[in-house]
Amino acid sequence: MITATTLKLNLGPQHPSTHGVLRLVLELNGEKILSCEPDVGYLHRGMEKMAEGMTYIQYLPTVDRIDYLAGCFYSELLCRTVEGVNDIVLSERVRAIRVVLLELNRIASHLLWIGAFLMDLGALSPFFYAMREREMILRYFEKLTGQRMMYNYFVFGGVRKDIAYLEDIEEIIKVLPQKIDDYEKIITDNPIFLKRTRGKGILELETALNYSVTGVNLRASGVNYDLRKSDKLYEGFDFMPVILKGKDSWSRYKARVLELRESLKIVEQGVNKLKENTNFDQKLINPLTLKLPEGEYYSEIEAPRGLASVYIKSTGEDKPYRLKWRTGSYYSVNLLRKLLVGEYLNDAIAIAGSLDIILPEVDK
Amino acid sequence: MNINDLRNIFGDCELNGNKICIKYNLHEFLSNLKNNYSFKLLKSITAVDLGNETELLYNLLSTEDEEDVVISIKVQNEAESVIDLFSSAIADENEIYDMFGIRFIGHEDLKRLYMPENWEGFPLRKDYVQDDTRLVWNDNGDNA
Amino acid sequence: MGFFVTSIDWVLNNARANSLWPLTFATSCCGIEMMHTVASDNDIARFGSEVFRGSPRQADLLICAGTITHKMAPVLLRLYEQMAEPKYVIAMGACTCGGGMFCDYSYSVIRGIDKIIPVDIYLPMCPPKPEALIDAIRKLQQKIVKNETIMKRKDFVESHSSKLVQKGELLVEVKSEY
Repeated sequence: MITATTLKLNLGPQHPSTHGVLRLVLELNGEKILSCEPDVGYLHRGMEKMAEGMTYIQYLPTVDRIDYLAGCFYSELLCRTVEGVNDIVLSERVRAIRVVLLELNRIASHLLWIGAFLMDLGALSPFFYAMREREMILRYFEKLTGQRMMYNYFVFGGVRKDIAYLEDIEEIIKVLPQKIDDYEKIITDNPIFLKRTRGKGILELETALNYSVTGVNLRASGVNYDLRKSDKLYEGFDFMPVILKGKDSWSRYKARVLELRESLKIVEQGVNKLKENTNFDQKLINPLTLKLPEGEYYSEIEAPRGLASVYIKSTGEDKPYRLKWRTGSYYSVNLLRKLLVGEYLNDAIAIAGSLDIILPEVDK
Repeated sequence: MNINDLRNIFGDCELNGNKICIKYNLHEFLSNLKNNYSFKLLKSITAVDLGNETELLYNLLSTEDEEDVVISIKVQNEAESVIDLFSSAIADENEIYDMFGIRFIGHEDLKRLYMPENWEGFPLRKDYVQDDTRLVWNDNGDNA
Repeated sequence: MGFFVTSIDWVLNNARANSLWPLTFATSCCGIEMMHTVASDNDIARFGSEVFRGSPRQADLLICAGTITHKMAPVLLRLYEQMAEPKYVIAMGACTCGGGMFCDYSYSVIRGIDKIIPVDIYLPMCPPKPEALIDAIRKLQQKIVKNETIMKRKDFVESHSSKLVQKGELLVEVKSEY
């Protein structure tokens, strides 16, 4: 009698896939996955407990490290909460500066995702092409703020100094659409890419709502929910949220590429606004005497990987009593428990890559 | 959605700021919100340590009406689990057990999420002592 | 006879220095800067690191890029022990040199990886630019050609393990002979 037993495979913390230190414990029957359990915590640095010992201005540079590919979003969340308490309204120029930098970060993050996703599938050339464009954006940031990835540029009440070198942004706007067309020519209708991503990793509507999925993953399943439409920072900017009905990995890829193009439109509108309003005035809060009054405060924003939000509880001192982050990738990792069951092992990495997971968001 | 509708059904909930505070029957309350009022997405579960009790905050969203609501309940050491209504609570409840020490009744596989298996203490409590000698790694068993 | 051994040594050290193959080990933000170094704008392949190996048994350089926490430390030690001699370690980023920005209030970050494995080059900055990482690799190549790493590692390992035995808090078993 031949009996078969199941194999417990450890997709360990160190693997050449570029998502960080995620560990999946899979139970296999041959090549089919029976159950999947994610094991996280290999990058838990205690950011929530650190905030209880630091003042708000001491904590602000640490916040950039929660999502290292798009650090501006979490910095903006903390600034937005403090400004909302003190009833500060940003001027037109400062608002346009913030929107331009946020959307440039989103473009850089999606470009790296395209390179990393295709590297998981085995194609190495798009990684080098995408990095070439990302270097253009990072060089502009280095000219403006002095740092390539973690800028520490937003402060409570405005920005550190006025924006400059607008001709570099115009160069990016001119060059990038043609390059994205080049990528789409070799990737989108490629027969190997279609066979590996079409019909794989289907995310139904009920599952998505049950597992608290937001962001691009939800919009590629047909739900019309984009926080930027009701956000006060994006008032006066004209763009369309990208909604597709495919529900599989190919739809998630196509939705991110289309979102790249919409972000370029927003950056172009922002640059035009910066040329019109040249009056740079802002009312900065003095960070050394900043104390939030007693109460609970909450803000949210649409980050590249889902909905991001912060909850602060204060007892009137200059340090928070409790601070909590809600990030998008945390729930995508939880979704892998359901999505990988029944798939083959070769498809598992492709599906996990299409959800756009970054580990510091999961482990904080 | 009106707080008065909920008060007619349940009777014992009050509005404090913009969060609804209830005292018991959490599971029934949330299943009523999910089935009758279309709040199908649980954005997050937050826990705050208030000294002798812990406050749990449930943040719900309805994508059809684009409304959100916050429910709050104060517990001592145990709470009811909601993983049969919202599967995203599997990760949230593991994290709250790891950081605060609250056990959830009805959650089959409650274990630590962030810290290693044999860690003592619950880090985010206010009476947690940061033990410096443990920051250097000790090879006492199989950790990996 | 001594002339032969030293010139063979010189040839071997030059060969080792100019073909260092790193391991893909990236935990956190410094990993992204390591990816930027591999890309085409700052190319690391012209210094000899043609490929990045996925398995530690085939690599000889461990660039530890990113924060190491309490749960990740046994994994790092196991990877280091699986690599074959001669092997070299670069501590990249402020978090691995001495704890970085988490050295005051964090409860789970290890303050510097030289509590666990011996380190050859320390590279601060948060994160270091790709040009800085290439500079670190150049300095490591000069150290290898002058034969300083292997002899220094023996002394380091002996002094490290004697410190362990004396104080008794660290129970890391590091071998003191090759």
